[in-house]
Amino acid sequence: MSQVLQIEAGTTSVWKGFKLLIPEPLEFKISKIYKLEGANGSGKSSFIKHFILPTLKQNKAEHYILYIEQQMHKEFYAIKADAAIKGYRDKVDSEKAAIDYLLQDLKTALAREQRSVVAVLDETIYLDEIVAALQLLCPKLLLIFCDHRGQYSTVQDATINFKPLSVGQSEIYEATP
Amino acid sequence: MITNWINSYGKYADEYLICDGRHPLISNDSLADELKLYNLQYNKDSAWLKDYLRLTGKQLSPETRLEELSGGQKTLLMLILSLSSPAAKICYWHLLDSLDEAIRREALRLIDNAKTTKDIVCEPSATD
Repeated sequence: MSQVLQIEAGTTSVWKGFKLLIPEPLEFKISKIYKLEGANGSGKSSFIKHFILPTLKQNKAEHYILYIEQQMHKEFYAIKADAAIKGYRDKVDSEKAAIDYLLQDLKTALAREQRSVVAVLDETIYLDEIVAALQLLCPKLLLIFCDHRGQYSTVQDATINFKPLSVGQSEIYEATP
Repeated sequence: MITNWINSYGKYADEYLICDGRHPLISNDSLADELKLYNLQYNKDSAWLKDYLRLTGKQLSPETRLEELSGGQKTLLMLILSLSSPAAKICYWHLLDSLDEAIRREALRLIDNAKTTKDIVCEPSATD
């Protein structure tokens, strides 16, 4: 991936009866901030799971990945287990505590070896706090987020729009402000 | 974490049906399973089914896999099923967190309509 995460153009069936159409290739660059924008059900989370995360994992030696899943109650138990295995001293007993642990773990990893960081934040109420912490921690940060609450008012570098073409298909394209 | 959440529901935990937008679905399997939790039967003429179709464009069946719904669609399903359930008192937590602006307005309208027959509270406040 080096400095750019690339998603090829094409049409992909992500769920039974739901397709994502990418007419032009999409690029996500290190040191930039991207907002995924679209109505509920337009495919933002599916895009993250079916395109962003698999692409990142192909190049996982090049960067650290911080992924905060929407409605993270299932992810929470995996984080709690990871904290226990690594002997994290604070109790991980809430969503906020889990996020604090992930940020602390990232800080430890960065102290051990500097890499770029790709943060993918899907509808978290702690968006502002996480972004503030990441901007302090990570000199080379690519931030991709979804947010319906109007948090994080700082202007992003680009918006990736999710336009429903029908109930079963959305088109994804970049709109630079 | 679940224990912490239950504790945080405080005074509502004993009397209210608690619906939390942070984990909107309980069964995470088919719609048929989720309906049992709300004491509802699937009927293709149900008002809740029509409301859901109108707001999301999605036609649900008893076999619909709920994992295939988006986060906001899961929250909206929780809202519509709970409002259609026999529960007289409902407490919503973080209901609006995952909802886009249009769905948020509709959610608040549905709640306002239901307040004539149900005791409904939203925490944190729905207008926050």
